[in-house]
Amino acid sequence: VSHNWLVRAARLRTRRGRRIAVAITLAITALLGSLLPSSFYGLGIVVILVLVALDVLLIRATEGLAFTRRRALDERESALRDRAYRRGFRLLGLALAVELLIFIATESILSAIANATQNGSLPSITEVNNVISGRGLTAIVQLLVMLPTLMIAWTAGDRVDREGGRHARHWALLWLSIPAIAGAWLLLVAAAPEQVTAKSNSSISGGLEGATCQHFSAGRIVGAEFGATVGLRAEVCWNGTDAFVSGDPSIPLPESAIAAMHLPPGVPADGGNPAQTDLTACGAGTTDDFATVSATTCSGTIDAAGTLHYSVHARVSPLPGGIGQRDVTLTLVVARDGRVLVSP
Amino acid sequence: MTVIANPPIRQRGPRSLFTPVRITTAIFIGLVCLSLIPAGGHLAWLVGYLLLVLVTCIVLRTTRREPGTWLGRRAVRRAVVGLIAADCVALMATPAPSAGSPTAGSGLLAFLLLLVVLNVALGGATQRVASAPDSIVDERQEALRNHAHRIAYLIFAVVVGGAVVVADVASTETRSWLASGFGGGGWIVLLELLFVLPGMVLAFLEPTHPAPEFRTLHPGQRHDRPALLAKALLALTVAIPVALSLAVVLVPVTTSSTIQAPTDSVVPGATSCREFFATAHLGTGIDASVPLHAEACWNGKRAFETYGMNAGDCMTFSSDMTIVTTTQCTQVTRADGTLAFTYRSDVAPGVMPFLHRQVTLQLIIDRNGNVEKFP
Repeated sequence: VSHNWLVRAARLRTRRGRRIAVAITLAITALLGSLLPSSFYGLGIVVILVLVALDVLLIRATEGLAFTRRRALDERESALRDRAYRRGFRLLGLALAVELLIFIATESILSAIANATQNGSLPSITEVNNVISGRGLTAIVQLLVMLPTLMIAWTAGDRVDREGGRHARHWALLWLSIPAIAGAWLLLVAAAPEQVTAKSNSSISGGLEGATCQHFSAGRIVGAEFGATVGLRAEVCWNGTDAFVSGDPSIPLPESAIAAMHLPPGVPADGGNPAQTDLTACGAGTTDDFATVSATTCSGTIDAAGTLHYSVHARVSPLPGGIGQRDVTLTLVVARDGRVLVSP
Repeated sequence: MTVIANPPIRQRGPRSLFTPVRITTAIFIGLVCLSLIPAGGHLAWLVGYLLLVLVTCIVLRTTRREPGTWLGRRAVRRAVVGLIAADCVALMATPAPSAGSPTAGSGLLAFLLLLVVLNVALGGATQRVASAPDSIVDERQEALRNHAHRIAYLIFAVVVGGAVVVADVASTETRSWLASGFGGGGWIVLLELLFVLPGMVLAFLEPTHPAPEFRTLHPGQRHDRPALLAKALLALTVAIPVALSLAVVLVPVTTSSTIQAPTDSVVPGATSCREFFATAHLGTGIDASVPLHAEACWNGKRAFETYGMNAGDCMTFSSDMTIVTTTQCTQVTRADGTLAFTYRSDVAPGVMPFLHRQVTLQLIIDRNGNVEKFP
């Protein structure tokens, strides 16, 4: 392999080089559209920036043919571009269907792992409804924007030359998209208002002797899907005297709940309230693909009126060193008759 | 763009069996079949129906006709495209039928049927050039359909991609709309756009064509057998869900009942007890079963319930593509000690929720254990 060929391949001037770049791009897109790994632990933005860098390389290699106005193209270029769009449209349906398959398959794998490891650890599947996560959204946008370019890069010959093509310095400006996207992301995570997740699809419900219970699963989104989601998962019960959290021994049951359980003599009070992480778990439902979530604490107190005040605190940090970090609090208040006074 | 006036049809190599469209269709059908597995054998007929739909689509695609004078006009074609777009908007706006509001999705089937009819018209108007194999389109048609695909791609990216991105990040309300949108007609619209949007653009772009300009792809097949077969299959595809839905409300309810001695221990204060089983079944394929399982006892002074006549017991119905709503679940002990239990449900076919009928299961037993009415 000559040195000249390697240079041309690195600049994606060869078909083989471009095809390798296309394959890597599609693999990263598939990874983003799947649920594996279950979290990028705050490094999701790095994956996106790598993807953007590959996109820039491919757009440069195809001289932006997919995005050039029709009047700037000759007949051959116009025909090549239109054909790429036709094939791209057909492949778009296929790509979305495959993404859906990958999502379902990885969700099944995670469910199987969660069922096999029910040993008190947090279940891998979140009940919090993010609708389409930030990584899934990135995969969809990537396919929509880049498929015609990927088609051109895959099918064109060893050189994609266009008469009257743009100057190299013009293409170099494309690299500015990387710091621009990084800056927009940081601004979004640091300053965008918090949002509440959509209604959970969870149908989990528990029960406790002498009480009525309801499962609460919700979350707050920081950075509009491109930051982190702090989750709340709690089984709240009430008996007319008190409202209380069930399934978490670190939050003691009130006297009224213990009395209603009629525990045999010698059995400690927390014996009737074992840890049930599928019902109540501090930190469950948290997703941290694009920003890390730390210092998560949960507390539950019952006031003199028997009203439960349950809260989750967490710190969301997009970058190390506390840059752009913010504290998030979710509060759930339930009266002793089951009325929800404050929703997360 | 260079347009060749009367180009020869190019002969190319055989078309691959595994085209992106075929694989995409197979994946979506596979996903639908997978989603039916949890339902067991009850909805097995749906797999057969899905195959019928697939065969109908294939037969429709193979029957190519000249668009005719009327559909050959640009204004008419554009009107068809406009109607399809309006129908898609209506489908998106129509919520899925649910137990809480069974009539909420009443327009879903009507809009879906309209979409099928409009798609057939669109296919006739464009001779399905957008999805035709490369081997049977000429250079002018290929250039035109490639151009149409580019425009369709941009429309799809802006309309679908833009809507999904904005809805997913804008606010909690928009995110909830996105989550619920695919519960109604959202999936239908997505598939419609994925498979038909280029054809819509093609129909919109193509000028009014005189007969020699717009050559038919398969001349001489105007009233051939495949066309008649396609019409018959299309009619059958539409008729099956309509007929099954009508059966839910028109065919008499099948009711079975049994009374037997209770299997558990003696109830304090009772002279005797009986267990009552009843099931009302409606429809086939699109069907519902409303069961009653209760125990009543009596002692000469009054009859009373031991179990099976409470609010929770009136929620044990099963339904396949039907919406069952409990409208009455009451237990009354009359002054003469007679126990009367009424369990009334409203059943509506899921695809035609504006049709519905009431099913009533009633148990009346006097203080001496005489069953006055059951079910």
